[in-house]
Amino acid sequence: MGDMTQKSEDINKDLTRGVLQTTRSWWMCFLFFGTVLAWGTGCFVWQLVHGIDVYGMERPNYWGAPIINFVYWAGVALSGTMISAILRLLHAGWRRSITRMTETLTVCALLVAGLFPIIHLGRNWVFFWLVPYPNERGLWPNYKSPLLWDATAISVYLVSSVLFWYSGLIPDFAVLRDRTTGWRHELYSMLALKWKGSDREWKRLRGVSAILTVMIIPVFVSLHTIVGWDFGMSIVPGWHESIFAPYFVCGALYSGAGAVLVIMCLVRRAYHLEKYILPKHFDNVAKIVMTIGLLWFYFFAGDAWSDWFTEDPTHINWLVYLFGGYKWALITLAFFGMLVPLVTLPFKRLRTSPWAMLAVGVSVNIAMFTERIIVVVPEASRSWLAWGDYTPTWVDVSITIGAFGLFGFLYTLLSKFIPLVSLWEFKEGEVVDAVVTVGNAQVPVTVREEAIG
Amino acid sequence: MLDTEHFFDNPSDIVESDEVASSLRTIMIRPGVRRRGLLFFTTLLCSVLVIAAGVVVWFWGYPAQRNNPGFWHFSLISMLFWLSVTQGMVAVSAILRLAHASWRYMLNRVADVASLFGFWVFAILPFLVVARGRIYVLGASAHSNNVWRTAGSMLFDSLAIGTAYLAGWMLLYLTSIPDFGALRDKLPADSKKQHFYRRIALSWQGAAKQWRTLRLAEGVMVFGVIVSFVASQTVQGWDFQLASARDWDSSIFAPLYTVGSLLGGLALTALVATATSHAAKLPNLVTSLHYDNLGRFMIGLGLVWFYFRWCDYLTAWYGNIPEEWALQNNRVTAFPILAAVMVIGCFVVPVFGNMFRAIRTSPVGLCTISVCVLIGLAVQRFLDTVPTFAPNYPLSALIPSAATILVFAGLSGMFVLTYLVAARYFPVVSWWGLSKRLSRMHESTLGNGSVDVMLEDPPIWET
Amino acid sequence: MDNGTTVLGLFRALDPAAKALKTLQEEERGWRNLLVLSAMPFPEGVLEADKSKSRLTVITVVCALLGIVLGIGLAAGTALLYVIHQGGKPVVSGPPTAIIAYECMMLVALTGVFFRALYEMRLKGWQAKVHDPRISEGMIGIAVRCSTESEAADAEKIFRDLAAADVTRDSGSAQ
Repeated sequence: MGDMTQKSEDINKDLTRGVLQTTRSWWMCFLFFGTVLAWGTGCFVWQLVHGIDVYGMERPNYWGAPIINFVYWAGVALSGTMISAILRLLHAGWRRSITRMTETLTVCALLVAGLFPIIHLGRNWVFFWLVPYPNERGLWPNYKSPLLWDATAISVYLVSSVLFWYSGLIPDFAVLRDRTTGWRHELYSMLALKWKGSDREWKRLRGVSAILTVMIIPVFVSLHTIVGWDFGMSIVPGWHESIFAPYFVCGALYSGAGAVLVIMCLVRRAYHLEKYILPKHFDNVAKIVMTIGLLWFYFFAGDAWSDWFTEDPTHINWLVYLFGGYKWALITLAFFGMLVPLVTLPFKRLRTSPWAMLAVGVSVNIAMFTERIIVVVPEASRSWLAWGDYTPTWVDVSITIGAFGLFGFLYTLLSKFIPLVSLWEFKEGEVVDAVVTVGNAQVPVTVREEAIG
Repeated sequence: MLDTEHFFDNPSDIVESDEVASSLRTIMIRPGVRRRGLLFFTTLLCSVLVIAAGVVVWFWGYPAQRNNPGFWHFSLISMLFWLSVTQGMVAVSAILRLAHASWRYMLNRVADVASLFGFWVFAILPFLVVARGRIYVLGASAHSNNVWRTAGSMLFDSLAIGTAYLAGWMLLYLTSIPDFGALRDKLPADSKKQHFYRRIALSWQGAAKQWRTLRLAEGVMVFGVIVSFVASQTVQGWDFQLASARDWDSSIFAPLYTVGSLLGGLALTALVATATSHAAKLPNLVTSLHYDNLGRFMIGLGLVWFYFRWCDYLTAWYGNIPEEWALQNNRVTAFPILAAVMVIGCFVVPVFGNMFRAIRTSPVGLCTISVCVLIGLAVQRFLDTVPTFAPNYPLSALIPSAATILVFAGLSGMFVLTYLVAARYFPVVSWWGLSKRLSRMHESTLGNGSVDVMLEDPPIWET
Repeated sequence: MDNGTTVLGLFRALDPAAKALKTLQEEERGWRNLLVLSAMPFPEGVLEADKSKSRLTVITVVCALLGIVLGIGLAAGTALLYVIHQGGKPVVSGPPTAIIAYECMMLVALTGVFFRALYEMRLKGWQAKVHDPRISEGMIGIAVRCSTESEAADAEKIFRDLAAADVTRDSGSAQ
């Protein structure tokens, strides 16, 4: 590690290119997602005007596409911070190229998820009644309800993820400040908070990063735990399970890890980051997907097994639905969520192929979206007193597609303002990693990182 | 610049260094059996306890305690406790191998030896089969659900537990082969010991092909150990607690018991490693770095344990279905002190105690925390089964008697005896693991500081 | 008011920068008169001048406790303040209060430590004025505050002897 400036300059040039240059592809993406978002927004306005019965929800299925979307997007939001925080905690050196894009994934997915509790309200315009401020309505948020725990947890996770994301961005904003002029320079000067890169600042940044890393893990676990408790705290057979909380967390991590694979592939291709996002990154994230997939299956099977084992007719109804009218959902889940990862992930050649991993990521997300359908619909369809069914309407489907549009729109927009690979973390990696010749081989070495705490 | 020029400079210096050589010393200079000293008396005491427990169970228990389910219940949960923590130790060792933890080398052998407790378990398993019948009556009366619905669960139990121990034995043996080879080469030729190690070293020569095969086998076995461990704890969790809890078939018992087993295994690893370093006079065996990392791992597992326990409690409390809540509530209201001991032992002490660096990095601190964890886990076994049975039986039948305490002591003696015997044949620290660790890390100067530089470990199945 | 001179040496590589810093530290310049600037963090002790104490951990604990109090106040306190009786259910119940208290604990702790870190990161006085955009391009800057001309000349000599890529001076008072 001699002259650091040339390497630094190359890193700065490569990783800020996406921010400083706007290509036609970027505009096409932006317009495409914007259009999809506009369609979804229009459908939401349609729902505002015509009422909530434009959705397919009818008794007893009072939760349908909006809640499925909420659970799905909250799940996707989990993995970004998980990858970043847990890999930091475990001192995994290969994390540096992907932490920023996964943290951005979290922020965008969480903004999408946070809209759905509002979307699924009967009177969306009074959503602010959830905010605990003194009022003359004679009502107060009921903190004994899991739905309020949900609102609180989402808010806490949103604030935490934004702080976690932003604290890592400050040094990169400083680099952008120094490389831009005009309104960009003003913007980045403001965002960089007078960052100089002094050892004092770096020490504090590492300190706060360590504390945020350790503390954000229980926050994201508690978020999806509480989402699981939306169902687990009820007495609806099939929902009233003690395993729902960890089961939901695992499902969230599974779908989120799949989304990370998708984002890695697309960002690498879009911004030509082949030098920074290497096959080994796909390999390692794929192993994480495989591990979490097995864990998720363990919880899913445990849940199904314990309901079957009771032989209690009320507990078993959702399984009857699952193997009956919702067989298509089970087959989709089994194929995309179990079979596809099982036949691809054990093979290194496929694990290190970005496009194969894109396919696996998409497959996992299809499966996990279906899994949310399996969790919500069959149980609600057959509760204590009423039997029913749920068929999504065009509004349901449009809102779902609109959510993907919103996510794409936000991610594309943010990619114009922030580098999707962390400049300073990558440069730090260049300092602490090296290659040594041992015998006839080149072996990577790394400096042991200081323990957190 | 990073000084990277000195890796593998002098492998023979590393292998011949005192630190590495000391790992074999306990076997090489092992004197004949001495009839004095702490180790001798410990062995004697454990042997007496084991024999006494055996006599109590087989010669007094069967004739005299046929109709006392409490006796069998306590004996059963004592055995299951030791089963879970020993399997947990092996699983912890496997997880550290999988994660390439650079600090694992001192602890792997100490944890892997716990799999040898399986020999005792197989000896006791027949008693388990019979004992279940004795406990069966507790749940069958006054309720429509039988205690064990499926007749074949005993088979699943045996298969799962057996597979987990078998995987542990294989991992222990495989990873000891290079050490046996070193002992074969260092012991006086044609001595009985050397002959013994020559046989079990299986013509190990340290050839590149042999190392490659060993690494691959280690990788496969690590997965096998983890999967079989999870299956074993899952089956135990489902089989006993799921069935014995009337109307509250909590789906979280399997992962709860898996995590509890890991937590117990971690605690016991800390205790055993500390005891071994003193007994084998290897003060550098376990350093503050190991305690620090074990403590951090314990914080994580303690939090997960509490998380699962809290999910179980909250789901019953919030649902407020009378039969379910009655059972959950019974655990706390009928046995408030025990419930507090369980939560304090398994959550408060390991999580909050380990947050203080001074406690976490000291042997006394971490060992004290480990003892609290083990007590908490033992109480958990009691609390998860007794409230189910309590309404059907007088409480006096479910309070431990002198006989059941003796049984627990006997099982504890079995565990200690396992290590005392194993230490005579297995090096307590992996000789080749130590060599590997020392050769893969060295100090380098960078700028004005000094840093530890490590070779990155390839994935466990790649050489 | 401090009338002094800031001398900034820019280096392309780590070793000469570290040597320069060490030389200045051995001359007992005082850590408050030294500043290291870089585009990436280095492992502890490699290139460190600042010795200020950090209170991040303490603030985290204090904010966490405040958060617990806030959470209990929100879930239990407001329920007692604005009582709504619901058929047989308690007005204040333990587990939901615990959950809200936990969430508020995390929120206040994380927010508190973040803002405390921003506060502690602030560079004051002469340090706040030192800036060179070439730091962002990978150069390592060692800045020293000199109260006399001879100190400044000495610092410049140290930097030049260690083949600094550039040595600049910034005279004037620091407020």
